[in-house]
Amino acid sequence: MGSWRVSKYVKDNGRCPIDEWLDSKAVTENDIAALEAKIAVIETVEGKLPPETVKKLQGHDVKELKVRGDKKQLRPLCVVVPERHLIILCGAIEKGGKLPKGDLQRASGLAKEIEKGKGRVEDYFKD
Amino acid sequence: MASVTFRRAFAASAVSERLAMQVYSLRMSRGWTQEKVAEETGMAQPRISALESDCHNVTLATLRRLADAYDVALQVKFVPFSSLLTETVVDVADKPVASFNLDRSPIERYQIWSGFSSNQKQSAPVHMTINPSPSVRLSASTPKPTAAPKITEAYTQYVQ
Repeated sequence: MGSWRVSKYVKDNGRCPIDEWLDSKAVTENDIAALEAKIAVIETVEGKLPPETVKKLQGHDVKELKVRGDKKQLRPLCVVVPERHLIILCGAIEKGGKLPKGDLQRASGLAKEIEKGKGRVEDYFKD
Repeated sequence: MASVTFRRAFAASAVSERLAMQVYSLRMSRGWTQEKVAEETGMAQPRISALESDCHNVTLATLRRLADAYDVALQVKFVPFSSLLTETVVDVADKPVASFNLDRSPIERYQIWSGFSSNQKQSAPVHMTINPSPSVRLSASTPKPTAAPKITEAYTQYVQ
C-alpha cells in the first residue's frame, strides 16, 4: 500500500487554476510555503488522512484542503479519486468561516470537467 | 528554500503538519477514541481534535503528556533545513510508533552500542539474553567495555 499522491488539474487550454491562484496577489510567499509543506506531508502518509485535513463540503461534490496560511485560512478545493489520489482544482480563502460561492462553483465546474475526461492532471511536485 | 521567509514558513508548517498527522495516527494505531486520549492525557476532547488537525501552537508540555499517554519517547531537536526537508518529503508521516512494551529497539540499540563501544571494536559484542518481559539479563561472554557497568546498570533499570 503506497502513500498519497497529490496532483493539480490543468485545463485543456493549458491553464492551471491552482497555479494562477498561487501567482495572484492574494497569496503570499508564506502561504505558498504552508501549502507546499501540507502537500509534502500528505504525500508521505500511507494510511488515512485525519478527517480535518481534507474535508467534504456539505452540498458540494468537492472537498477542501485545510491549510493555515499567513494570517488567513487557505482552502484549496479538490477532489479525491481512488488509490489515495488528491487532485487540487483551484484555490480559495475562507472569509468569516465561509468559502466564496464563486470559488465553490468554479471548483464544481472543474470537477465536472475531470468527470468528462477533459484536461489533465500533473503531479503537484514534478520532482 | 533560498528565501528566508519561505524556508521559515515551510519548516514551521511541515513540523506542525507532521505532528498533527502523528497525533492522529498514534490514536488510530491504538484504536483509541478522542475521549480515551483526553482521559489518558488529562486534556479536553476538543483539544485532542484540534491537535489532530493543527499543532501550530503546541507546547512541549502538551507533547509530553501525549507521549506519556502512549508510552512513547518524545524527541525534539535542532536540525539543518536539508534534514527537515528530507524528513518531510521522504519519511512516512504516519509510521507506527511502538509503545515501550512492544518496542525491542532499545535492546537492539544497546547491542549495537556494546559492539562498537570504545576498546571493543575488534572483539565480539556483549551477548544479551532477552526474556520476553519484564526482565532483561545481560550475560557477557567477553570482557565488558570499560564504561559498560554504569550503562548496563542504568539500562537494566530503564527496561525494568
